Amino acid sequence: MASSPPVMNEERQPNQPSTGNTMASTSVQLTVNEAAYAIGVDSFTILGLIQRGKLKPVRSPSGEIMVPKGELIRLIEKGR
Amino acid sequence: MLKRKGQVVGSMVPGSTVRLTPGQLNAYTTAFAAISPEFDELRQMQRQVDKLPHTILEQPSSSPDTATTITAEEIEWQWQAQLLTLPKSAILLCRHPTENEFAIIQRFPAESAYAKTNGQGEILLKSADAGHLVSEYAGWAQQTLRFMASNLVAHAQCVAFDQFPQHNPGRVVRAISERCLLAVGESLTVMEPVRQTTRHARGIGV
Repeated sequence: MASSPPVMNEERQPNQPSTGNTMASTSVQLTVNEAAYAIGVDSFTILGLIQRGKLKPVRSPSGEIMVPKGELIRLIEKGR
Repeated sequence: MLKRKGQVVGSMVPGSTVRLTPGQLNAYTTAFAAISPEFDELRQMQRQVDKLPHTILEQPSSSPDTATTITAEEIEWQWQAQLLTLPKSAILLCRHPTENEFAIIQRFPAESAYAKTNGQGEILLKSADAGHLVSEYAGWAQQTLRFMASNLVAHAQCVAFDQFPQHNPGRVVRAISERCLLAVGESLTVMEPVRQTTRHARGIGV
């Protein structure tokens, strides 16, 4: 991981990303919107990355797609 | 509010044939509000994707002299057309500077974390046939929109079941599901006969 990881929200309201904390924990799961916000893209892009197999999501009990924080870290480390 | 013989039989909501009781309507309103911004985005993107097959015809290849370039895989690709404008990126049809090859490239803002590590331009598809390429991308984008719609339904389902378990949230979710699928061009073949039946039977349009 490089020295300046993207800002992530640790204690967030649903669909309301905050700023201030970094991706310290990899067990946290983010909604598609939150994941998009975290790496500076849009939700369409996150879903496209999942479709192309570049991100491996998990499903919430209701079936909603969640992105493990570790997956995002892996994604943005990959290009470095 | 629809009534039959003076009895309330349910309200109908946009894009759905499901009738909801007042309690279900309240649940629907709350659950749909949770996805409303993304739903609007979905519809806006669907309109763009619908126009994709015509893009190549309306925006013929521009002169290489005037074309703007974008770097992807260490090649300075020349812009031919902007296919989609996304909230934080754009999908471009580009041409190879020296070879007979086209590419669909997604351009990200330079300041995004993704662009900083993966590059500002990312090639999604390549082909020597620009028309075929755009057509193939249109199909791919449509799948992504369906994926997005199903994810919105899942989020709304979570809200409906968590906050309104006593109001048969399954019907609420069905109404939202129909609306989301309709927004991405699905279920039209299912809904059309229902519309006709309703019109003939009761004179009520959807």
